[in-house]
Amino acid sequence: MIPYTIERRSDTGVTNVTMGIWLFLASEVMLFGALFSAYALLRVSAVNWPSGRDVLSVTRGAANTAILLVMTGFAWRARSAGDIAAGRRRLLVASILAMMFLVVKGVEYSSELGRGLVPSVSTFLAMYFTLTGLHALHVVCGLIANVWALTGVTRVGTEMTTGRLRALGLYWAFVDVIWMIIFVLMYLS
Amino acid sequence: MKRRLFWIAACLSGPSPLFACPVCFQVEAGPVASGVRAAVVVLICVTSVVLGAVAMFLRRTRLLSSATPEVDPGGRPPGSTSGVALRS
Repeated sequence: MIPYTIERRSDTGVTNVTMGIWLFLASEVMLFGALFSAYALLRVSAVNWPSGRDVLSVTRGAANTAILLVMTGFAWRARSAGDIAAGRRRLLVASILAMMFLVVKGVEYSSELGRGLVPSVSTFLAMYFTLTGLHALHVVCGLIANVWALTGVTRVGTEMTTGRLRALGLYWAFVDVIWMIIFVLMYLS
Repeated sequence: MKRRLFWIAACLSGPSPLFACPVCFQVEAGPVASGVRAAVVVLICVTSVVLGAVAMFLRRTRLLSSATPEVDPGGRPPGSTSGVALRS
């Protein structure tokens, strides 16, 4: 049994759940930071770098941005909901929106692959598929975590579920911020 | 101490190409060197943000631990992992 999952530790001032999610997010920042560093290396050293507006569908990218923003809003509000039932409802809506994001991303991928835009065509596309693919993988993992939190209330009780909702809110906010950076770097510039 | 000073002096007196960045050395004006510099700047920024956050957290922890007594109200010392049953 992991201690301090509900009550705050006196030395850190936070619960172990909060501490754990922040450490996890720090490692995730380093992971995406390395990829953004690779993007900077490839882009600055490239002689010819295509504009994302000419290659990718900005409309679909913008739609996904809107979906992810609303979804993060619901996930963030789930963590501060007064009662656990309201928190679960908001997380359920956030999960549906995350699925919508994946559907739009899947449609976008199939359209690009259908036009022959595969990673081996150019460095731009290789970077695009790496960044968006890893991000989509994070959305899938977040969805699994949402289901885990939604179904675990009866097993672990409301107090522990509240901690999980808080951690998920932070995670989805991070996923949203990463998408914003990807959207600006790959679609708009 | 003398041995340390010897090694420092030996390193400083070495030929300058030894200290050159293996990627940028002699290709300073090329686009690859500019790309590597941009990548390094991005990585340094990301690392600085993460390390800064860790430093702020450690400072907060130190302030908290100096402000609170050593034993918490539950009778357990901070960081203790024994005898805790929290799952309802």
